[in-house]
Amino acid sequence: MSADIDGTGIDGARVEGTGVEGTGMVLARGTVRIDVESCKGCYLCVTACPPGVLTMTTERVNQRGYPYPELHAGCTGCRRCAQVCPDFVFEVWKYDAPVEIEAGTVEGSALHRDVSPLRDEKH
Amino acid sequence: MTTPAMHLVTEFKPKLLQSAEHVLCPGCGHFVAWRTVLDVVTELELKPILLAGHGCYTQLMVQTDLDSLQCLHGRAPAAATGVKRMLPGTPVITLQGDGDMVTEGLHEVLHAASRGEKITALLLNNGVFGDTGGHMTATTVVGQRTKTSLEGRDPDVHGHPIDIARLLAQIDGAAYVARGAVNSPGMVERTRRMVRRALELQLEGAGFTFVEILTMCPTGWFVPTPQGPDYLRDSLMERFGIGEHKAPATS
Repeated sequence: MSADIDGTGIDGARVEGTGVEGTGMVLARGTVRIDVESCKGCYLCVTACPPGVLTMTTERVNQRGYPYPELHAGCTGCRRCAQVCPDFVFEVWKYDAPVEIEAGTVEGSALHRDVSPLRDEKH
Repeated sequence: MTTPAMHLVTEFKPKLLQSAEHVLCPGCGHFVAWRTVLDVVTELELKPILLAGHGCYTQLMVQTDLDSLQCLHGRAPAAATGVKRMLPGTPVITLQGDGDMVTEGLHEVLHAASRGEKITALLLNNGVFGDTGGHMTATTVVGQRTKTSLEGRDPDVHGHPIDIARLLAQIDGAAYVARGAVNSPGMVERTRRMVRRALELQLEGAGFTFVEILTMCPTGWFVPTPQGPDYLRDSLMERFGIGEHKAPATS
């Protein structure tokens, strides 16, 4: 549970290592949907991810100004990100049979929605 | 490209939580612990009454779809006594922080335990008063930095921390006493089993059940959020240890 496995810098350096870099096809057994606007950028998911396929954004932030995780090819659907996330950012899916997907960021894993700065009418 | 067949493993939030949005700090361990508790409650198909004290975790109670009651500092086990005696068939869970349970109202939990009240007391222990600004509590470990012990807790000046789980384990009325943590997925899983065992024993009427959960408070500890889990492991976990301090023999 080291904070700097695979070179994950606390200052937001990009992760280099398995599942994140490289080209070609990667086998994935699961996938996650990331509710980007709920994230507060705490990095707990990045350090908890066994295959190391989650990285934090370095140049983009969500509407509340926090960096957020991005999914790269190679997720195993192990649920650990969801278990340690304090902000309920992850929804975990498992493929019935492993699928091959292209290396790099997984298309469609991040959910973007509109968040009003003053939250909503309930407040 | 066709979408490959897949099935949902984990939803965004537990069903019992009304909203996933909360105002607690980034990297806070309270909602990690609470998700674990709510998962167990859903698994066992319980409809417990929840009694919470004062602290950051009061937000958990507000957002949870359970009948709940907010109690004065430390008084949750005392109020739970009344609830449980009037509604003996209803599971009762109390939720307290270390400042609330150990510093402000320690005697309430000790007496509830010695009376053997059939409730489950949960303690979210992070070693600081998070809600009121991050000062020292009775469970702050020696050497830990807080706002009122800037050079680290010094036994000569501030005294020693109270090991509440070990204290409660000595009391005859306590049936189950355990300590878990939420600093890693493995620990979360271990804690989930402890909470489940505690609730099962409450349903069996075994007596007072207690689970302490060590949680991260990066804001109160002055550490960056990614270092929170490691700091927890090296400070609170190192001092207190993880495991079951008291459990009935399994048949």
